[in-house]
Amino acid sequence: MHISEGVLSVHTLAIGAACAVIGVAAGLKKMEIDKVPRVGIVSAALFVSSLVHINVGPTSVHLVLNGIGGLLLGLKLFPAYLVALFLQVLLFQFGGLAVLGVNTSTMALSGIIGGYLGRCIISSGKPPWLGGAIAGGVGVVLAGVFTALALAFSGDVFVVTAKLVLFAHIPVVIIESIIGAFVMTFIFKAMPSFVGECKKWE
Amino acid sequence: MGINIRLKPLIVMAVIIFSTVMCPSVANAHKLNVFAYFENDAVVGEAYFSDGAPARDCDVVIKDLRDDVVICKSHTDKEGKFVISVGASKKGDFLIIVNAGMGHQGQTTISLPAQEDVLTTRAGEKSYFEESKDEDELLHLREEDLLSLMRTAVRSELDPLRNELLQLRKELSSPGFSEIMGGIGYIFGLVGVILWVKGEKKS
Repeated sequence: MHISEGVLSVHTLAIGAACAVIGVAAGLKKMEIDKVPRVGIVSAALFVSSLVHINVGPTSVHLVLNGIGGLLLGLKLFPAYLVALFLQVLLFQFGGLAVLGVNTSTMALSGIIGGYLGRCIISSGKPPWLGGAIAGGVGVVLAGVFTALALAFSGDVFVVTAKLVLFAHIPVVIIESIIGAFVMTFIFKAMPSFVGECKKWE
Repeated sequence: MGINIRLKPLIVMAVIIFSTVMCPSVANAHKLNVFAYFENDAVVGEAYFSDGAPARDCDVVIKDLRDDVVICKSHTDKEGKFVISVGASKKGDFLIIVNAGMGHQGQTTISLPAQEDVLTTRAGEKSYFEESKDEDELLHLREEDLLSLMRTAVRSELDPLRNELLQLRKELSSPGFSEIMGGIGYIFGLVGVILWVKGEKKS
């Protein structure tokens, strides 16, 4: 869901960049030394996830993994996304440097909200796979809504774009929910301490 | 055993990343490439995502680079191809923008040759056909007919080459193994730097 260079208006780019700066600063403040490897691994996964593509209609979509990232990292998803997207611009020419702020904000913010919902579900005693699936699905849906919102600020009709983006991402929502369920089931087997972490407000 | 359990998620993540990288069907979707050239008073081109998937039914806009005015609007067909007639009088540099919606946009610049220079004989130069018209009555071809025949012949010769060029560009535009591994390397390096700095502070 990278927005290309030259599509958005200047004020949308400015708002996106401002949001990204605040988010990254908050994320870095929250980053304790023992969470750094986790941020790195999620960042690497986000960096690679865009390479798994699914063709839908006139366009093609790819895995996002933002909800699962949000579930694992909380606010620290912002710096993880900034690094992943920056490297994608440099190495693959996906998106662009000017839209880096908007892309970071739309993806990270949606992932954090999805992840927070997942954490709420897990901490309320529901099975971890459900939390992972909800986080994965909601993350992608919100990323679509936020992307359509950014495009709407630059002249596109919000409802039309949002419908288009969400329709194209239905397969991704399903796949990400399944991946989220598997990842969470596994993490809870390997790291039971994660339940306690979920109960903490990020 | 405790360490093993802690390492497990990292190992699984690493396996996911590596299998993603190694998987042959993996390709990226997020760069829209535009390939275009000028032919017979028309701009002919193709738009495709960097995994090679065609950009179907997308808006195509041709702009004059000198004054930023939109000259033509059209859209791509089911194979991501487009043919837009711009008229013979157009010349100069033009920007071709393809918008696939959802924030996906790609562009390319082409130079249109001045048609008069190509088609007309220079002043003072006598045409071969004018000279030989009387000599060879069997050859009823007019100059324009012959030129168009030559163009068709040259085009049919060039087409395979053009396709090969397009194929090559498609392959070059998808990220290679070294770029993917390089990116992951940068991230791991960055994690190392942060850990080192934070560790120093702690001690």
